[in-house]
Amino acid sequence: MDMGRPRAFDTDRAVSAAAALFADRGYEGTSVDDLVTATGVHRGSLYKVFGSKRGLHLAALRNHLDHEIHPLTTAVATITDPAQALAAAIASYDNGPAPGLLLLAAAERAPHDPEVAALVAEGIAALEAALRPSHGDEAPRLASTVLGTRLRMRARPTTPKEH
Amino acid sequence: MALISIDRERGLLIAEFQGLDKLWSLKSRLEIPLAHVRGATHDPGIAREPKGIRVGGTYLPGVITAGRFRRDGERLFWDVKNPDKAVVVELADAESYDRLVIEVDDPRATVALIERSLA
Repeated sequence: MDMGRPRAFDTDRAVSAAAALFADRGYEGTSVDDLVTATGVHRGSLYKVFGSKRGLHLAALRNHLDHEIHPLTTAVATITDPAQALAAAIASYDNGPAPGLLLLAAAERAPHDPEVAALVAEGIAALEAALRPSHGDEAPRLASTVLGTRLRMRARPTTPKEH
Repeated sequence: MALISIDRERGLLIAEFQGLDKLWSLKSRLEIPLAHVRGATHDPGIAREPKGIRVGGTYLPGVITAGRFRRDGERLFWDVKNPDKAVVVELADAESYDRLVIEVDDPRATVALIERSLA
């Protein structure tokens, strides 16, 4: 009965579901009840595996960097035309199934949490590096343009989501 | 209600139970090595979940949950009257509890205090 219960859920899927939720509602706006509902994972198992809401948020950010930010920045780094590289970054940076997770973490959590700040810095450094082949020393300034444009896109009112 | 503090010198998280909570929970304080603390979360919703089996302490549904409980093979320590102020402290396997669910005066400040002490 008590033999270290097997993990009866897919950790990656739980992290992805949590990432989408954090990206939509922010860290403070997401309760453990919300996370239990969205992941379909028992509360006790969430605590056992991730330790805390913070632990799950860090896992979500790590997942977003590995599966969204880094593949996109790697692709942008191969574009040599400056306008095309910038357009591609604006269209797709910090997007995917948890769009805006990095921007939100930068605004909400990074000032209070050094581990979040380090993950955000990793994402921004990747963006700068991706724009360097096309823009050289202008890459940091254009990375700021990408971040700012993504923020303005997020701020636009949207029609109700379909999901 | 408990007062949670950090003893940096001894590397301990200390929960001191206030007033009659000592009686309800059968504990006056808990001392946990910080190395065995995995995280802290403000979680009002946990109080709506089944508590499992009371091993020692007091359980009056909707009024107070205090003491040792066992659920799904896990050992929990509760001290909660007001679920809005419940903080969950997740512990490492080496501890005698898997999880503490403790009411504190300022959940946000308590979570921040514990997270800072783990960094």
